[in-house]
Amino acid sequence: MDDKEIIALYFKRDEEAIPATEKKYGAYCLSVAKNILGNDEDAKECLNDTLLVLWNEIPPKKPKVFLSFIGKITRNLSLNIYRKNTAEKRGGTELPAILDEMAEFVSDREDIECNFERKELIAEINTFLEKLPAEKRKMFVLRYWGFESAAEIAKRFGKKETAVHSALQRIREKLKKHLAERGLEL
Amino acid sequence: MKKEEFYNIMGEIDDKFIAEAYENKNRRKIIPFKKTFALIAAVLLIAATATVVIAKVFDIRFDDTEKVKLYQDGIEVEHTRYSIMYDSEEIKIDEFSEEVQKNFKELSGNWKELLDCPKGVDCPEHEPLYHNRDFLNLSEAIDYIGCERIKIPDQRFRTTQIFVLQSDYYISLHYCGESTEIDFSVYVTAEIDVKERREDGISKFSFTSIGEEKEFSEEYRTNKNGIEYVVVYKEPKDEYFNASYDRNLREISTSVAAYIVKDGVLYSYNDIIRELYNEDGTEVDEVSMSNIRKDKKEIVEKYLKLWADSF
Repeated sequence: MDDKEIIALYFKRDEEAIPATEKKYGAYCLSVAKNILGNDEDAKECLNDTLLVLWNEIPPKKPKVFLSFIGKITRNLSLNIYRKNTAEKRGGTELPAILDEMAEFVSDREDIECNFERKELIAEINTFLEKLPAEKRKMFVLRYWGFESAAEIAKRFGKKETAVHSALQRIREKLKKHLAERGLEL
Repeated sequence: MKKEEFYNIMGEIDDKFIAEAYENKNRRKIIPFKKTFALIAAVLLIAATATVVIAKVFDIRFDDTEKVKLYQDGIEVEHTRYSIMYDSEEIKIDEFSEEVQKNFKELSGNWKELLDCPKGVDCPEHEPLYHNRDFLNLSEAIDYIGCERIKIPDQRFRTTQIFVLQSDYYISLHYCGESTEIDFSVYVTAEIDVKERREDGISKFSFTSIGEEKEFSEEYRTNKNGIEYVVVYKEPKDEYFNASYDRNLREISTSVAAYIVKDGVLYSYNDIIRELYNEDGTEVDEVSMSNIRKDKKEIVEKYLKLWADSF
């Protein structure tokens, strides 16, 4: 079933929308959630929550890119659970490693001053990503949007793990430079 | 920005980048163990030490399609050569000649009727179409699905192309379907842990499919320009070269699968179609299919060599 058909089921309030979504995107959602949460149980719970949110949000929302729409919901829900788990001393995922990578990259100043600057930052990151070669862009997104391990990314692209780390390092430096040239920083 | 804030910022990147990064990944599925056997049984290629089978979908670039001349039972025919991006690897596949496709289309009837039939493969009228649709035009099929879907096929799918990527992946291209919904999918890699090349230039591997162990060999050869190519065949070799069919053309065992890498591009060759033609190029009729020549090896070898030497 294609995305349009699935979304149409939501609009018809047809409960078949849920299994159809799970069938097509369940594995993807579980993968995103597990990268953040590190265990199957929480990831499954997150998938169920994602399906519930979808049911509640569509309609009125009509996603243009269903895959991304679902992914973002799963990601946000997973991060919420992660924060809760971290507070309870659970975890054990890629997140700490990714945050360590970012430590030398971000300014560590308090939150960005205003909503305008935040939007500008996002827009510039999008511009930067647009210019990257597809493979590098995918690596960056998989790592920093999807929290995938370097090993998994390496496997996917047929590269060595060290090559992925190096590529990500170069991309981070380029992004930093790109933003700096525009008077922005993370 | 606090480093923790970074992932919030990343959470708002453009949807298209997320879709791009996950589009193929979402299609990559671990196939359930039980179905793995069914899948591999059709692919007819595996390894003794195969561990995990992963399904992938390729990006097919029709804009890179080109026409090439190849030999088919002594007749020069035009094949369509597709470029396929498999992750970041470029693969070129030679599709059956249009002439052959035309003949098969006549056998297959209007395959789109099947798509609209609510009974799908259970429909007595359309069931034959189901079985024959692997003879349909590849570009139509892939264009139809737009590489959007991936499904685990049932056992009644057909392999149309077999080729090999790198040394540790076996990949097959086939059309498959489930009930009323047709899914033509481009499938399958079986990861090979170890595949040693013997001194005689042949490496062997095997796997057990539904209780039957099947053995395969890869034979390394060199074309006239000194480029190495690989011929894949099912053991015993003589049986392999004499593909057999039932009278309804439903059972087709693989004839020759070969691949060659030139300038970093992998070209594959599949000789299934040849078996459906007499040496003079005329079509083998249905009745005589079961009596197809038993001595095809020489002919197969001849045109396989012509193909390999064209690189």
